Amino acid sequence: MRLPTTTIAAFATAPGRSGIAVLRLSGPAAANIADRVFTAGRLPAEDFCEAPAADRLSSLEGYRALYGYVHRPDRPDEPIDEAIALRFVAPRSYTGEDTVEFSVHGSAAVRQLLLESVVAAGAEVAGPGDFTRRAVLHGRKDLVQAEAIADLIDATVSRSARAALDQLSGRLSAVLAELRETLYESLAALHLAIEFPEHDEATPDTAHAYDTARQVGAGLDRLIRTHRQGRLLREGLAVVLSGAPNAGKSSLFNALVGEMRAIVTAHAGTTRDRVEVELDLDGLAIRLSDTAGLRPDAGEIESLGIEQTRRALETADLAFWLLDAAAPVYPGPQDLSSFPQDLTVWPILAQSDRLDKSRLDTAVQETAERWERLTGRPAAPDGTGLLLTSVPENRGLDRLRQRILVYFESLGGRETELSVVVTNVRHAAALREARAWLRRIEDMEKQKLSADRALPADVLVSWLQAAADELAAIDGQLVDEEILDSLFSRFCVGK
Amino acid sequence: MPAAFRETYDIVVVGAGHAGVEAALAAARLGRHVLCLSMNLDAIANLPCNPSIGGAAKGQLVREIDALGGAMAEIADQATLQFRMLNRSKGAAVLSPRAQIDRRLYQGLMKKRLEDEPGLVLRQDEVTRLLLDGRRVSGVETRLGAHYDAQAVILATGTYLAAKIIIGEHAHAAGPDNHFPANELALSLKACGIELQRFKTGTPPRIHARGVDFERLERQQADTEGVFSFLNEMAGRTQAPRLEDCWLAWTNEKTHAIIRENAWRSPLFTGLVEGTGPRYCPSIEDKIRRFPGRERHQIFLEPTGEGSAELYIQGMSTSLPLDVQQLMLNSVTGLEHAFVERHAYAIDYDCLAAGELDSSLAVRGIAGLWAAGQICGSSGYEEAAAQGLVAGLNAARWLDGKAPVIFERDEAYIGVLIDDLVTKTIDEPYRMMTARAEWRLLLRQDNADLRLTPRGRELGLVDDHRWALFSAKRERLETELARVRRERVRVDEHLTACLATVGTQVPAATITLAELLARPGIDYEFLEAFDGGRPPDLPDDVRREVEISLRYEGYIALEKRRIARFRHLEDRELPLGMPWGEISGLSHEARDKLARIRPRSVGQAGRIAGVSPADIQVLLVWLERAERSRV
Repeated sequence: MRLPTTTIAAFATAPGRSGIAVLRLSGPAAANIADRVFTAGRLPAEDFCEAPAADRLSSLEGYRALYGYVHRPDRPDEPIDEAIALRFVAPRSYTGEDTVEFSVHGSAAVRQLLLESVVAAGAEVAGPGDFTRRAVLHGRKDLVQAEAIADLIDATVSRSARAALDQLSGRLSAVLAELRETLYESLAALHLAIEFPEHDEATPDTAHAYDTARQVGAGLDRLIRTHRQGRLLREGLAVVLSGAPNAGKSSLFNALVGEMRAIVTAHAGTTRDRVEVELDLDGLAIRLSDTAGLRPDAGEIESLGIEQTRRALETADLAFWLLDAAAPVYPGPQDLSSFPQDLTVWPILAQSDRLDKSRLDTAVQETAERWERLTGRPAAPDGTGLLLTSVPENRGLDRLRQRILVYFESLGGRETELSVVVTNVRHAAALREARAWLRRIEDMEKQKLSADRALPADVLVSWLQAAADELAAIDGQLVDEEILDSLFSRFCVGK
Repeated sequence: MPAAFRETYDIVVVGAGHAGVEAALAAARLGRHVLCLSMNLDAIANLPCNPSIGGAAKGQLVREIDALGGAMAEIADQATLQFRMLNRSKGAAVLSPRAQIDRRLYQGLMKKRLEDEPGLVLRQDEVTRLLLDGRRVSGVETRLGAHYDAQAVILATGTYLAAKIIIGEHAHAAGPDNHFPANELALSLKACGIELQRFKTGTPPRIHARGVDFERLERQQADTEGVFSFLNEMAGRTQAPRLEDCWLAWTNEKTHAIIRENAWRSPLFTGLVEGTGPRYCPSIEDKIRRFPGRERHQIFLEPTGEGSAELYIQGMSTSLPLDVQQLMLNSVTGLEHAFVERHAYAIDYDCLAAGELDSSLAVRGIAGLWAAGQICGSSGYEEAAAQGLVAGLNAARWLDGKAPVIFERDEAYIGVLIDDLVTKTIDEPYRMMTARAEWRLLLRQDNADLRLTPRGRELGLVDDHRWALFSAKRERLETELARVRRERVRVDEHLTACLATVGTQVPAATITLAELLARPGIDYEFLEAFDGGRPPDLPDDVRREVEISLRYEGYIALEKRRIARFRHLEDRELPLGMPWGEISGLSHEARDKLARIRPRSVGQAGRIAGVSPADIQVLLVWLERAERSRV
């Protein structure tokens, strides 16, 4: 069996959000393909001539960069964009293979053309995770690292990147090691009692084991809770703007985005498709969706949009219901049923410029009361008032941003103190599995059984070890040897 | 050179310790013509260290050996001086039988057992050379110049290979109990290309009972009932034959001071000991050094035989010089006037290096060669016997052209033992412990027969007598389990009151006996008044098995979920002749270890020290690709 023989290409940066896009080419032919689509030097001026051999990527040393431009294969006279080419020589690259990375401007057209060009020059389009798979295959990454890197690549904004980096730098491993050590301590004492029953220190200290189960269980709970925050950091907070047609959703959406993304017209029901855009709000990723107005008597095309709205609400972390200040349309029974039970939905009194200034205070008061009566949901977070916005007057937009931010941070809660976030699904699953074993022990303890009816030491030791196994599997430790080491270093046994 | 004396056998077993005797018996039971050679027939099944058999995890092994028709349990039951069931309060899965053994009696009985086995020839001679025909075993040559032709040889050399006894500044070439060492065989094995490594172990002194003031020691009494063998249990013969006492004493500050002052005379410091000693069996000087904070250490005085005054001093293993041993002993309260019969010593010896064995206990690279016992890196009589049985079984099957039998980790402690010996880089003599068995709730001593006797029967190891007893027991058990699962009792005031005494209640009008028995604190005795349909003559072992199996059912169901998760990697077999050198992406260490150990499944590969989860991912990716390219 040989190594992968193909050379793969894909953008290593996520689409549509950065000024710079990085195309990665990895595989044995990376440099040769790169040379066909890249020429060192300025964009071709009047007198174009071929770059000297030294400036060819295939003869460049690793970790060296060239400035130049990318173009159609073998057609330096058809430039696509300026580019920096960075050369990595196997095995010193991300994948462990020969690699070239082009940094180009991030526009969709440039990306498309460049990818087409490298494919025309002999590369294959990489599937999701292909680079990381090759990195693992070449022994450049272990599993935890590989998973963290996949998160890092997906990361959209700074804080997400930090979550991924934290994992790389081993914070999760360190927290896990501490929890495991607590388990081992208990296990060592139990094992001593079982393996060396006549030893003078051999009393099966089940009380200590129960304490351990509780203590480690609480630690796992904290970690598991951070998984939600981790997901938010990675994927961003999904915020949905909903409301009746023409309530002003699209203009508010556009004002927030700062550019015209959705089509805004005065005709009710213009937004038939859900429009989603990613925003950087003070370092946090927000996925903001503008949705079609929910309208019961909608035409066929609009119902499609409405169906999408329902789906958007199902996966939303936070939703706003916009009420036109001049003609507020409150959610009907059907709309209410489309709000998931645990979804936070706050009303916004939008287009407040369409209302006489003297009537605003009363309108805010009345709207909040009516909302709460009708929906049974609060109109605003505790201690704050109903949101009032006007795009033409630039009113309330900062408050809205602030409210989203505060809500986002509240989801993490105190867990930010842990300064570690579980971003990976496999890790979260393993943590939950470990937690389940410890919970079984806690449940037994809660029944307050007498010593002869409590969980026997053999079962206790098995469940604690099952929990330790799950934690160890996250970064691949051999549990039984660690427990025995712990036993022999702690207790004096022998013939 | 033509040998003057030449004979032919199917299998030659080298050594008649605990591994050798079980290997010879198993192979002979399978119809093979077996020669079992021992340097000294008075050393058969010797117990040169502690005069006891069983204990945590080891007791489970003895029960498994018995369930597969092995000899150890039956002989131990006859030679028992003191029986104790350990871990009574810690759950059925770690309940561990242990017996103090009359050494001479045990050896005599085992010798007779070998002599009575048809097809088995026992002979006194030292094997000095392993004979090969290419990379195939052809026989052995002995000290007395005999030449034995055989297609299969089982090495069960214990701690005799190039053995050296060390006491303080003194060292001499000798096997345990001052028997001859096997020096030439060690050289011959090396010449055959087998890689050996050096291990060390040690034993405490034996003293004469006359010098002991028993009044000042703590007495440890025997259980009146308890046996190892299912045969005795099924026949209702559970009375222990003798009820001798053991005694507990303690070291003190004075003892520790003597050891500290003389530590520089320990061979560990002078460099006389080359081998790696076990962590779980440190010498007393090791304990003092590693745990300086402890004011005292336990010492057990154990009888070694009926009518023998010799007492084994468990806890005082040492390799310090004779004068220090004497001072140490006399510093202990109650041992002020004690005098030594046999001095403590350390012993180092050759055993197989990691990677020389495969999962069937065959030595790699030489067809027809098998190994069992301490030569495989284990420690302990029980571990040796278990391997002996498997090596004997597999050597006989190999001659028949049958596939080897490999017990899985979730089937038997024997499986855990051999898998660990084969996959782990054993850097100290390996002792069986319950902590090593992931599936300890399944691998109980009580159900060893249910787990293994049907398999043993299939393999030809279990004779008609045992099979008949076992089949009858199993039938009674199944009938009784069906009955308690079926029969319901009315939850009346009387039962409710009784249930309250064990802190439980039943919120229904009726409940099955099985559901009641599954609850902790409730057993057959408890239910006597409510269980009218009970068969009057239900044997104790069946009752106990019903109680334990019902109580552990729920725990085992949970455990099985874990087993299933582990199984999918275990079932992913690795073909023979994996091109380990060509799989890129494996770390250097992993590649070396995998190429050496040649695991038979991805699960086994994952247990090898030095093989990381990333390596396993690479392996899985490689397998995936190999499979795809085959399609």
